[in-house]
Amino acid sequence: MKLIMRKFLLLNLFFTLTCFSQDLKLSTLLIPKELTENANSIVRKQNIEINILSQKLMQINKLKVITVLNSKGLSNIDAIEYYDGSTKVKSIEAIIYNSLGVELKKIKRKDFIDQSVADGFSVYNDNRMIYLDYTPTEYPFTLVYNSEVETSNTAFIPTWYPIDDYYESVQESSISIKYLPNLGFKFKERNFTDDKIKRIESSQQISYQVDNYLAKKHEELSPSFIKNNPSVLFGLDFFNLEGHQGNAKNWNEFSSWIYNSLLKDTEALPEMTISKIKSLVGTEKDPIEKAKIVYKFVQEKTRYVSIQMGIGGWKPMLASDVDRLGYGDCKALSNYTRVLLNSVGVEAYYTIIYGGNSKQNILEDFVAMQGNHAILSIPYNKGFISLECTSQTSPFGFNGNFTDDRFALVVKPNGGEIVKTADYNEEKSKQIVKANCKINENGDLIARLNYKSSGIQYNQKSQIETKSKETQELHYKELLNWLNALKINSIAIKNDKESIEFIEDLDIIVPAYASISNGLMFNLNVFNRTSFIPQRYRTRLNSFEIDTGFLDEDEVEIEIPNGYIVDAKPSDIVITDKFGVYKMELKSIADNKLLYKRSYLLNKGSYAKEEYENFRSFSEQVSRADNAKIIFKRNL
Amino acid sequence: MRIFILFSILLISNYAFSQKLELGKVTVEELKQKNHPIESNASATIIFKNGISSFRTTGNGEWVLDTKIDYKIKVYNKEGLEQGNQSFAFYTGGTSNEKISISDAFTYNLVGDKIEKIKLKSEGEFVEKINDNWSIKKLSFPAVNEGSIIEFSVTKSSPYITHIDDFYFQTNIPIDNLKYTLQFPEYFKFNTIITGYEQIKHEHTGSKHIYTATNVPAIKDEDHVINKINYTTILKLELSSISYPGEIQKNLSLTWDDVVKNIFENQNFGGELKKKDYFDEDLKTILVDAKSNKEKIVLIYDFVKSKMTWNENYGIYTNDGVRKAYKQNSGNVAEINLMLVAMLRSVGIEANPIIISTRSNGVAIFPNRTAYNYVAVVVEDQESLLFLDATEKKLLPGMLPLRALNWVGRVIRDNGSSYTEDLYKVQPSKETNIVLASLEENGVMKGKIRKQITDYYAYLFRNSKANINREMYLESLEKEYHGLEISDYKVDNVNDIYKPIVEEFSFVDKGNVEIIGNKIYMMPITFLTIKENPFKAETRKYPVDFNFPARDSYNFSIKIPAGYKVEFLPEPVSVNLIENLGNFKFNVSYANNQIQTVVNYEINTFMISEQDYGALKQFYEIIVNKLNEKIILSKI
Repeated sequence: MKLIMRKFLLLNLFFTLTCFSQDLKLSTLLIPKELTENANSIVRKQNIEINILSQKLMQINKLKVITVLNSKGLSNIDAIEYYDGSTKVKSIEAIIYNSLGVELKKIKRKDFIDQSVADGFSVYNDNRMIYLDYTPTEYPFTLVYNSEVETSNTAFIPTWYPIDDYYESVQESSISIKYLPNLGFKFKERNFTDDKIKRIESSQQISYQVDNYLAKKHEELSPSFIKNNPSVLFGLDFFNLEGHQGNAKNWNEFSSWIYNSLLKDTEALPEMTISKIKSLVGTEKDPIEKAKIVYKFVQEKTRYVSIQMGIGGWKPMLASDVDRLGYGDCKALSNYTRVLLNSVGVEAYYTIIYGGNSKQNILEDFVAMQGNHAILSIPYNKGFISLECTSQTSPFGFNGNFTDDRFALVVKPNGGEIVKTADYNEEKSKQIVKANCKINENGDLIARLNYKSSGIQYNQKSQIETKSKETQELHYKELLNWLNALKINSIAIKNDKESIEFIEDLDIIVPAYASISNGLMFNLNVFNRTSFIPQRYRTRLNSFEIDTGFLDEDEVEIEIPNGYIVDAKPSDIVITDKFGVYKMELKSIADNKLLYKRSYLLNKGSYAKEEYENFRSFSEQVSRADNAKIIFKRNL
Repeated sequence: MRIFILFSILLISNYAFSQKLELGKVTVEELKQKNHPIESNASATIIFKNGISSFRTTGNGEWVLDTKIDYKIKVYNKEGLEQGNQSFAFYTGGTSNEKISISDAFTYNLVGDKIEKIKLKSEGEFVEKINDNWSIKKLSFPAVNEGSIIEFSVTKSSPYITHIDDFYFQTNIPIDNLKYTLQFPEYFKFNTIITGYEQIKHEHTGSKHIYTATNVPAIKDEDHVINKINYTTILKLELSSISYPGEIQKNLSLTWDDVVKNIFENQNFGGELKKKDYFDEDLKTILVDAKSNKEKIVLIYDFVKSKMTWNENYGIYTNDGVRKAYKQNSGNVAEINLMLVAMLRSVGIEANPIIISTRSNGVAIFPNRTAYNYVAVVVEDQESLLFLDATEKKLLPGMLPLRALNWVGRVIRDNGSSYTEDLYKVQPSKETNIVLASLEENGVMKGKIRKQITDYYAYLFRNSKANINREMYLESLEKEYHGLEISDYKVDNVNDIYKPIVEEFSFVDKGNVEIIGNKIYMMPITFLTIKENPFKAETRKYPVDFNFPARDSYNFSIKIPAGYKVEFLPEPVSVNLIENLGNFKFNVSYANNQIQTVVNYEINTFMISEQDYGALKQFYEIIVNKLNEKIILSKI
């Protein structure tokens, strides 16, 4: 599965602007002490000026003065502009000053590097970048950066992030936007949790400014940066995108615009293909069964190839081209599948979403081009089934953690709808372990075990199916890395795409699993130990979240050699908290046979920073319980 | 059984030989094939790769090298679909440029019992201009499915006749049949070498050389390999001399001496060593009090290190030149280190450049002007050699950065003569841990640790961990030691690189001691233990690379709680890994209520051969088992 609506990503990166006055205080000696705390760099001053001169012309001027304190702050310079057929970099330059404010170097446009944007997945895209590659000879230093960019695309007005990364503080930052009244200018403020940011509005102009924003620290389990920090989105009701005039007044009008200008004229399919898909569907009446047949057809026929040129960054390739070439990007493959489904009478809608392991929503109260990925939605039971059309292997209707549990825009010819995709939390992401073990006189453990995984746990495992035997063996050795010298005798894997279950059967031997130096001692939890304890912070600063919940259930029978009796064993454990529930239970089911039962439910959730220590302590208790040992002595 | 196996191998090779290496001869049997006959997990295979390189002259008498390679590739499964996208880089940065052309490009599929042949049209060909010097030709084949065969012919025409592209006999999928024909005018001479592990047959008649191979397996991914390219089977070629009839032979490179001479006479190498005027004045100031040569070396080395910042560019030649680099305080490897040589020589110290192929560049194995990409410094006196490299500020005299520590280098003397020098004469980096702890009855251990590190350990610490904010570093240390709480942290000599780094801190450990029944269980070096064997695979194809030789020692004393006695102590062990390549000594003793564990661990080499892998794996198994054995205390 890949991202594709690439241009968003590029343009979303912070744009900027212009005029640089000579009275800037460039010496680093004047930086207030508190701004250097936890900071690798300090934005001394940033002005972004955006001028929307018409529906088809926007100028973006950027001035950034940044002091870089150490090598880790170098990546915050962001002296980079992107361009393509409709966006031009009119000027770009930088000057470097030392800590006393003495000029060290002037960098002209020709000394910037001009390069294609290798996004890592596109066969071709027409985006290019101009960026500064500077080797500092001393720290701290200050860089003054100026750029002017002009674009005919007004579909994306840069989002303003007063602070755009961890470990960077901001002394002074502002944005101001001038616009024409008839374009339907709009904005949306996100995460304005304090009153530091000031908004100034006047006729046909809006600006924001902030000063003395302190650097933030990254902490484990923090929500994503944009979820947790302020930003302002800007947009137009009437915009231009690669020569297409668009309307984003509300979701209905926006969706019909997408449908009519980007999708409608791509729909034609060759007669032969239509009759082929009709004959495959045959007499099947049920829309979902029909959809399964079509999805299988697409998975077998196509592959993911990303080609992004001009409007092609947003408009799918012709369905007939996908049909002929057998490839396309997420837009093309989703749209092709949609057209095929429609041709056999199944309703299906092109759907725009943010794809990625970190869940990001299409914001319902801000009508504009959003998202970076396309999928397909089929109405079912008052909701929708989503199809990931870029995967040749995903089970029908399974989103995995790339598009699960988030809001998406379903594009209908006469209107749009923001809907939430299916989630795989708690019981829906389950792993069941069943095992039979025998410990022999030498302490070796011989076991047969069976995993059954669904939901996100299916997702995480299913890639191992097609790997070589050697790779699979290594995978299990890593998975069970506490079993030193583990030998794997056999592996059998079944990927049940119908029930969306991943089933693994293993025969293993662990030499010297039980210590026999003094009686018989071993860890009761052979196969599923949690060692995860979130990092301890002296002062936790951020809230935290558990992105996806899951449920594990283990049932393990353990047979021990004759002639031993229990010397010490753990009592049954139940740990219940808002974070989840852990249970461990031990039963004797014969003279020399134990049944170890464990279940661990971790809930999805967002929590205040004050809860963090409680979560750590919950995790510690779980980890300790997973380490419980039993000791036998010889029955003399 | 034995006979059967032999027979099946014969069959396979028969199958391979029966292939004619011609495009356009796809058979139904080939299209029907479901798995690779030898590597059944292969996602795809190259049925054949047939290359021909030949020389021609253009109308104006310039030589052109044409290399035409025909490919026939079979796709087995969905992972193999990526073969449908192909790309070829070519150089465009000169006065005359390389050109790439594609012909006979088709996808073959089986439709029913018929072979369907689909042409790759221009819509599936792209050129990405990376920057001014490089472009990439990219192909997206149509209708590539499981089972498809794709064929194409790629021709590269290059005016750079002295540089022939490496011919890969091995890649990440199997190659069933390989042929490479090199045909050149009789007045050209070539150096050739084949790297890697696979057998290549070589025949020649006159100046026509033919290399063939069958059933070359896919290159394997193994961990602990510094650069896979060193083990990949590749034909490397270099034009070594030209002797036109009636003219004197022109040696381009034939021996190492020729290669060196070439480099030495290059203005951007030898010429740069002669310039002195730019630093003369500064050097006088620095050396005003210096007496011995030793002092001078260190003063000059420290001066260059503090003045110059490496711009992360490699190369044996200067780019801007030493003079300009000196002025702007930054430069590439050659600028910085040739400057250092010139300075040392100017005060009468015998210093020479040593040219090196970095780890990422692979091993320089045959005389080739492009084999080297790095230059450092060697100071020779009667007794010893001293390596210097001023690109890294935290490096000690005598050390090379890890990137440059790759087998051998070539020292180039003042008079242009040269000799090879072993780069692996490196003393082991040491880590010494001394722990004094006392255990409480409730399982809580409190104590103090003193950890001292030298050489590369210290260098890596100074480069990464030393710049991290203290609080964050401690938090990460607590995470690494799994549950430790750290206080009174102190670190010495971070900035004095001539002394070892010494870290000291107090700790409270609540997580590593277990109380079961009325006994106490703990590992001998508790939180410092090595939990798992880094070598998990059963077999090994390539040697195991180590970053640098190391000696770690632990001296761990634990005072046991009053009222307890020692019930069990792990037995001492002493293991030697193959002729002292590795050593492990372990001893636990008890006296005066103190348990004392002494562990010594050494790896005295950069590499262990694949034949010795079994012994290495076992060596670590013993270490892990021993360090995880439990000391048992019981109540008196």
